[in-house]
Formats: sequence, C-alpha cells, structure tokens
Amino acid sequence: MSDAREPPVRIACATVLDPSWSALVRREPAAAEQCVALVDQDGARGVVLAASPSALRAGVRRGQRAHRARSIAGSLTIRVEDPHARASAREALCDAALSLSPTIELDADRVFLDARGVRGRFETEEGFAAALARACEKVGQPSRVAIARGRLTAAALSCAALDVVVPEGGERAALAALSLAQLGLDPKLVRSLDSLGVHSASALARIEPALLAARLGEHAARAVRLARGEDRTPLIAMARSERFEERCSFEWEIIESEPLLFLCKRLFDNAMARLACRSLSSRHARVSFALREGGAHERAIAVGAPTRDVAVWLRLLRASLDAAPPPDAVVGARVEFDPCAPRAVQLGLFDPPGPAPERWSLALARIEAMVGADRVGMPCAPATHAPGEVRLAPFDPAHAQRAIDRAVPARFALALHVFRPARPARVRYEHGAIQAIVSEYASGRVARCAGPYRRAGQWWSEPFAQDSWDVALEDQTLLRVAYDGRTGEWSLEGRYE
Amino acid sequence: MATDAARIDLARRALEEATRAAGLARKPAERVERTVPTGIDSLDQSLGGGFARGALYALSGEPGSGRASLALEWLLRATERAREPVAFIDGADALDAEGVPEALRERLLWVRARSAFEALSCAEHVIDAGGFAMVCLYLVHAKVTRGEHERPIGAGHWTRIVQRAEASQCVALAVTDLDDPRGPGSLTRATLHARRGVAQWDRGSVLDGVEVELSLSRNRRGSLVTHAEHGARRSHSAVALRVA
Repeated sequence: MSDAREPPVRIACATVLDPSWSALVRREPAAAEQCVALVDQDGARGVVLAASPSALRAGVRRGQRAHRARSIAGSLTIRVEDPHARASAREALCDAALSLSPTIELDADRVFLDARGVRGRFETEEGFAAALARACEKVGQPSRVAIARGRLTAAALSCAALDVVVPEGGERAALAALSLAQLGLDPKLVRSLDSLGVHSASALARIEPALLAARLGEHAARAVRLARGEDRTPLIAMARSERFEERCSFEWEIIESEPLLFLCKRLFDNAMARLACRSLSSRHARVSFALREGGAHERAIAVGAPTRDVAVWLRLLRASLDAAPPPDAVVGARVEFDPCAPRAVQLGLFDPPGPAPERWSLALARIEAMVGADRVGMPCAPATHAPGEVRLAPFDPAHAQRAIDRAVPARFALALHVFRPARPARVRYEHGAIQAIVSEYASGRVARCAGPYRRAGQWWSEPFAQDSWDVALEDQTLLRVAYDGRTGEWSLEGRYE
Repeated sequence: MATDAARIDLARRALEEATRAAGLARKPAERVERTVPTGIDSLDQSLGGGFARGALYALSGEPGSGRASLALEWLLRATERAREPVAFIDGADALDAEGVPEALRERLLWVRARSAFEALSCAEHVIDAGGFAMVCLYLVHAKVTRGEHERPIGAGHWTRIVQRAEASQCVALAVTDLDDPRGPGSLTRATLHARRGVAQWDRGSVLDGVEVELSLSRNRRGSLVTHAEHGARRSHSAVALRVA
C-alpha cells in the first residue's frame, strides 16, 4: 500500500531534436553556419542524415545519396557521422539531466527524469521543463521536453515536437492529436492499424484493447492503453556515470601541434560544460591521440588545484606537446577527466596569497618541458647512502604552505657545492691522512683533514664502498675528497661553499 | 590621538576576531612583510630593513666563500618571515640535498638546470607563477652554453627577471662568481661580495663552519647609490660572518 503523502508519479522526457546534427554541431559549432551535410559513411554512396539550414535551403534533403546532394549544392561540405562524437553527446545529455534530478534513464537520444517534487524548487512543472531544456542546450543537445504521468506518454509528446506539461488525467486529450507514428509505435503495428483504418491516436483510443489484442497481439493492446493515457511504464533509474570522456575522430591527419590544440579545445570545452552541469571540477586529465599507423599516444596532465578553466588545460597540453610531440600523425583524440569537488576558496584577508595552483601548474609544466620532470621538486633525503644519489619529491604549493605552518627548529649546515660528476684527483695519502691533492680544479698541500666518513652497501645489486674526507688546503679551500674502495680511485666530490 | 598605523592595526584585529568568531579564519592573519631580513643587523640597516620584495640582489664571491650556505640561510629566513615557499634555481646542478636545512626542505622548490640559460628561463617561470617569497638563482660555475656554443648572458635576461620580480613582489637573489661579467650588473638593488675566511673545526676534528667576510659594494635606495662597507655578525650558523 502506497503512502498517501507520496507525490504522484511524474516523468519528464527530453528528446534531442536532431541527434546526429546536434552531435556534429557540438563537435564543430561552425558547421551550423556553413553549407554542410552529414552522411552515414564516407564516399559517394553515403546517405545524408542531416544538413545545415543553408544546405536545406539549397535543396539538400535527408535520405539523398552524397553524390546527389553534391550535385544539388556545389559548395556543399560533406561530414561523416562520428560514432564517438554521438556517444559523447549522449553522455552529455545524461549530465544535463543529472544536474536537475538524481534519478534518470537514458534511452537512445532521449533521457527520462523523475520529476516528482520539483515544485519546491521551480514553483511550476513548466519552470522545471524550461530549466531542463536550458541545461540540454548548454551541453549542445537542444531538446524538447514533456512531462506526464507515464514514461511512454512523455516520450511520445516530446517526440511530437511539443513542449508540454500534461496535468494528471489529461494524458488522453494531450495525445489525441498525435499520429500513430508520433506515438512511437512499432512501424509494423502502424501499418496493420492503417490497414484497419486507424490513423490517429484518438481513433486508436476508442478501440477496446481486448478486441485488438485478439487480432494483433498484446502489444496492440498496450498501444491502445498508451493512446488512452493509461501508460504506467516505470522509469528504470540508471547508475550515475562518473566518467567524463570526450572523443572524436578527425577527417584528416594532423601533424602540427597548433591545429591539434585547436581541435582539442572543443573537446575540453564540451567536457568542462559537462563537469559544470554536475557542479564538479577536475585536477587530472588523460589525453590520448590515435595515430595514423595504429596505436595510441597517451599523456597525463595535472593541475595544482581543481579547475574548469579550459585555457589552463590547453596551456598545459601545449607545454606537454612541446616537450613530447606525438610520434606520428594524429587521426583522433580522446580526453578523459577525473572528476572531483571544486576548490573551495577561503583565503585570509591578510594572508600571503601563495602560488595560484593554476598558474603554478602551468609554470611547472613549462619548467618540466625544459629540464625534465625528474629535475624539479622538493629536495628529499635519498633512500640509500650510495654516492651521487638525488631524490626529489613533487612540489605542491599547498603542502609547502602546510610545512610553513609547522614550526621546525632551524639548524644550518655548511652547504656543499657538489661536482656532478665527481672530478678525478691524485692524492698523497700517508700516515692515515691526506697530505696533498692535485686536480684540475684545486691543488695544494692539505692543512687540515677530517675523516674518513665511510659508507658501503647495496652488495646485492650495485655495491659501493666509499670513504670521504673533509679537507682544508693551505689556501683555506674546503673540499670533500672521496676514495672509491672498489676501483681504488680518488675524486673531488665537492667544495664547501 | 592614534596614528593611522595604529588605527589600521586596530581594524585588522577587529576583523580577525570577527572572522574567527564566524568560523572563517584559517589561521591568525599576518601582514605581508615588504622586506625579508638577512639576519645581519648592520646589513639590514643598510638595506632598509632587509631584502626588499620585488627587487633583484646579487651575491658574488670567490670559490668557497660560503655563498650557497648564505643563500640557503636567507631562503629559510625568507620563508619563515613571509610564510611563503621559496625556490632555488640551480644553474650548476650543484646543490647537496642532504645539506639543505630540514626546516627548509618541504618549503623549497629545487630546479636542477643544466645551464645558466635554462636556469634563467626557469627562474622567470617560477617568479611569474607568483607566491614565492624569494627565488635564488645559483649560477656559480654554471655552463653558459646554448647548443654547442658559449653565449653571453644578455642584459635582457636580467631585465626580465627584475620586471617579473617586481610584478610578483618576490625577492630575486642571483649568486654568481666573483666579478662575473655575465651577472646582473647595475640592474640589482644591491650587490654583496663574500670573501673566504678561516674554517672552523669542532673540537679540532670535525669541520663545523667557515668564516665569511661580507661587504656591500653597491646599494641603491631610491636614487641614491652608495658604495660602503657593511658589517656582520657571529652566530650559531655554520657560516660565521665578520666585519669586512
């Protein structure tokens, strides 16, 4: 028994007006202004799926062969439908729906939403429908919206080019004007009903379901119930997708980074619009380029703090491409973002600002492109005592700020200017101490010497055994001298500076 | 009658209390200092309170004159005073990570450049990013080759560093060899010279530090340029300084 306080079932349906064309315009907005036709396959035998307004004015029609369309409109540009772009467009439609309702169902190029209780936020269901239409428009999927008691009723009304909100009990009247095809019935059933002289939803609603079921089957009875507005098909909620992927195939090969960035910008724009719909942001992205000879070239991009600023992402991608361009011509691209909560900014009025994460990420990317990623970071104590070991941890401004807030007693040590690699030297070693040094860098008699400081290890892989001395020459030059116990060679490890 | 500074201070405290009461304050608010003290009183007096933010300084000296030690000490003082991270752009790839004070390690960005040109470009990017209290450009024994040929460091590089430091209000410190013609020259706010003193040995057996004579050879404050000697201090630091 249902709870008396539970609001009645209301289902909203947003149907994309022209899915193929919307997917193309979403990827290539300039196509809407040009004389363009979208075909299902490459070559002269391709069939026109959709066309731009100027192409339609020139006489191009859906269902025409590509060669025929070209002969009609001489300046026509042919674009081949990209299944990847279509899939991304569907995901964008889901994101638009999720921005308004947590319970949605995607069915091909339409999305259903649970529209119960929307009056609390939108005052009227019309307001909710308008908000849904705006959200779909924002992600490049202009749609018609209908709200009704049943799922199929809402779908039929939104397909029939009507933005409509049907009140409880008014479904039959709303559907009466629709044709059988607009009801979304199976074409075979529509033909059968046509042969029986039933051409509209109102005529279908007048037939007794049991009689029609006896002749045409149970699905005909369901069609009658739909025409009467008695559809009670429930909405089957789908799992919320946390994948923000945009991909497209290029119609030509791209070698240089500038056009590649231009095309990637659209993917970034679309992905960011989807993230914005869900009130999410991102710190990490993976960009993959499909190569001409097959295979893919992947790279990861990270920003210091979550951002939806496309310019920041593009600058990082540019730095990444400058550092390591794709090894071959690119024929497709895919970007995938890991969603996360947007950055909550609460800075103190008198606090120092610290490096802005976006600007810092860009600076870091440029520096890494110049010197290499392994040569930038925070100095860390190496995990081994092996000579010449250097370890750097990634530098994070937020981490540095936390370290500044911690009080650590300051202890200074004399800094060593390390020679990388160590400079070879000749040493006179007598009576357990270094007496004199001759090297390209510094030579002289030793005035004072401390050591040896011994270190040895890694006998299981790359063994080392080294003795070091701190040495002061007579001219007060302070050096660190090393003796390699395995090779018997002396070297200057560095100079105290 | 309260002065303007006192009034501002009162207002600041009132605002702090209000934000803390509203649960908005992250930590006690602090002023952004306009100078970073060197820790050497007489030098700070001559520089007008320390290194001015937004200016370029040069530290040069003979080999082994404690320049790297001084630079690291000043970086640590800068990060503690300004409460911002600092950077060491190593044009010679010569920094010993083990010798970096522990208090500085997690606050320090270290860039291991392969040449002076790389270091200069990296310094530009780091300063441009903003938010660093001090950026030290260590060019001692740095290679000045670009490609296969040795090239001079043009004044344009240093001009860009000065402009960027001014824009991001960061102290830029260039550590160079003695009288290096490739240094920043007259673009600096002040030029310091370090001279090697005697080494100090702890209990006669362990190297503990080195005495350094530090002199201020050029100091520009406003339009006035002075050439004067300046003093020093003796501290617990590994680098002990004495009057030049």
